[in-house]
Amino acid sequence: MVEAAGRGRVYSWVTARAAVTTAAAADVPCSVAVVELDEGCRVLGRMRAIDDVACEMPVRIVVAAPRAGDPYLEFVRADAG
Amino acid sequence: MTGAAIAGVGYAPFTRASGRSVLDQALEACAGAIDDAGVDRAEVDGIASFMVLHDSVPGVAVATGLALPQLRYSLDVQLGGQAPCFLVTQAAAAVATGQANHVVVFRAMNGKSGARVGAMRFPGLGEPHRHAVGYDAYLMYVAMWARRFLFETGQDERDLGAVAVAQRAYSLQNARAVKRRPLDLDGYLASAPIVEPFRADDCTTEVDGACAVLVTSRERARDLRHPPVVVASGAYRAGVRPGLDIADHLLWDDYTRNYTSLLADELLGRAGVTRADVDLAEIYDCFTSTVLMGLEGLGLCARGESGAFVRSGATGIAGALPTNTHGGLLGEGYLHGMNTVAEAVLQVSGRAAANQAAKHEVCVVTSGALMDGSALVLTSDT
Repeated sequence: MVEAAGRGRVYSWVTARAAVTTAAAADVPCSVAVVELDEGCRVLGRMRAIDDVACEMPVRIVVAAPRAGDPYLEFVRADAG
Repeated sequence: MTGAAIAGVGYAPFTRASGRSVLDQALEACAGAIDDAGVDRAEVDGIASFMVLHDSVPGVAVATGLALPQLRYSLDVQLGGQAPCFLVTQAAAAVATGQANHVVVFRAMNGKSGARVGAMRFPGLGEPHRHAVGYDAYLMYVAMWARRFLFETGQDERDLGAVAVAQRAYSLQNARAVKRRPLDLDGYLASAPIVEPFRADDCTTEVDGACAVLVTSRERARDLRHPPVVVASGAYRAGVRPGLDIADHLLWDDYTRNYTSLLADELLGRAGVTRADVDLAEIYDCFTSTVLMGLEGLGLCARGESGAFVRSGATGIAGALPTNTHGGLLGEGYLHGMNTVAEAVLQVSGRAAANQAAKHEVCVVTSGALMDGSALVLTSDT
C-alpha cells in the first residue's frame, strides 16, 4: 500500500479526437495520461486541459472520485492555479 | 531447427462485410492451405487456432466441416495477435514429436461486421480502471506506448508516417489488400487524427476473412507442391507483469520495449542465424509504431533509428530488408497476423508475385504488439 501526496509526472498520454467505441463517444475529445506518482507507482486518469500535456510534465491530482462506481482521477499541471 | 516446415497457405477473401459465417470462411482458408500444399485432406490430422473471447470457431468445427477422418491434435487458445507464430511453433513441435503429421493453423473471423477485438470488454479486474476514464479501445493502448516510444527514442510523427507510406507501396501491388489508394507523407500528415499520436493511416483496417497455413515435416514437405519453408525456430515471451487481460498494459514498466526485445537473441540463436543473415522481415503491425518497435527490438536496426531506416527505403522492395511485403496488417487487413505468417511463407517459397523480395532465404516473422508475443525464423530448405 502506498500513501500518495497526489503529485507526479506524465509518463505518457494520448488524445482521443474520434470515438473508437460507442461508449467513448460522450468522452471525446479527451486526453488520457499515465502518471508516475512521486511515490513511484503509476496511475491512469484524465488531463483537465486536453492540449496542455507533455511527457515528463509535472502534474497533480485534482479529482479523485469514483465515476459509475469505478476509480476516476483527473490531473492538471503542477503549477496550475 | 525444428524438423518442421510450412507447405501451403490458404485464404478466404478479406472484406468489410463477408455475409458469411466464420466457420464457412475458416473452411475455405483451411481447405485452401491443404490443397495449396498438395496434401490429401484425409491425411490432415491436426488443427490449431486462436480466438479472442468468442469471435471464432474451434478446431473441431473445422475438422467436422472438412470431414477429417481422424484428428490426433487439436489446439484452441485464447490469444489475439500474439498467437500465429506461437501456434506454428506448437504445430511444429507436434509434428516433430509424432503427435500429428499435418497440422493446419488458422485464424477466421468477422472482424469488421461481427465481433471487433479492438472494442471488446474483457472480464476481470483490469477493465474497470480503463473504462472509468474513457480509455476503452486497444488503439488507445498502443497509442499510449507509441507516444512514450517516440519521446524516449527521439522520433516523431514523421517516423510513424514513414511506415505507413512504405507499406502502402506494397499493398498497392497486392490483390488481397484492402488499402489500395496511394499514400505519400503529405497525405499521411493530412489524414484524420484518431487517437493522437495516431492518424487514420497509422491504424490497421478491420476485416472479415480467414487465413491458414499447413505445417508438416520437412521431409514430407520435400515431396509436396512447393519448396518447403523450414520452421528454423519459434519463440514466445512475456515479460514481468504482462497484465490481467489481453489489453491490460498498465502494469508493464517500459512502454518503449515490447516482447521482441526479450525474445530476439533466443529466436535467432536457436535458428542458427545472425541478424546479418536476415533477408526480410514480416513484423506485426496493428499500428505503425509496432513496426518501429519491432525493428529496434529485434536488433535489425539501432534504437532510435528505425524511422530513419524505413525512410531510407531499407524496408522497401529494393531495400536491404524488405519488410511487411504484403502491405502489413495496415494495408492487407487485420487478420491478427495469420496473414503476416502466410506472407512470409509466400516470400520464402518465392511465390509473392509483384512483391517478391530478391533475397528470400531467411525471414523473421513476429506476432503481437505489446507485453507478450511470439516470433518465427523461416528459412528456405538449404
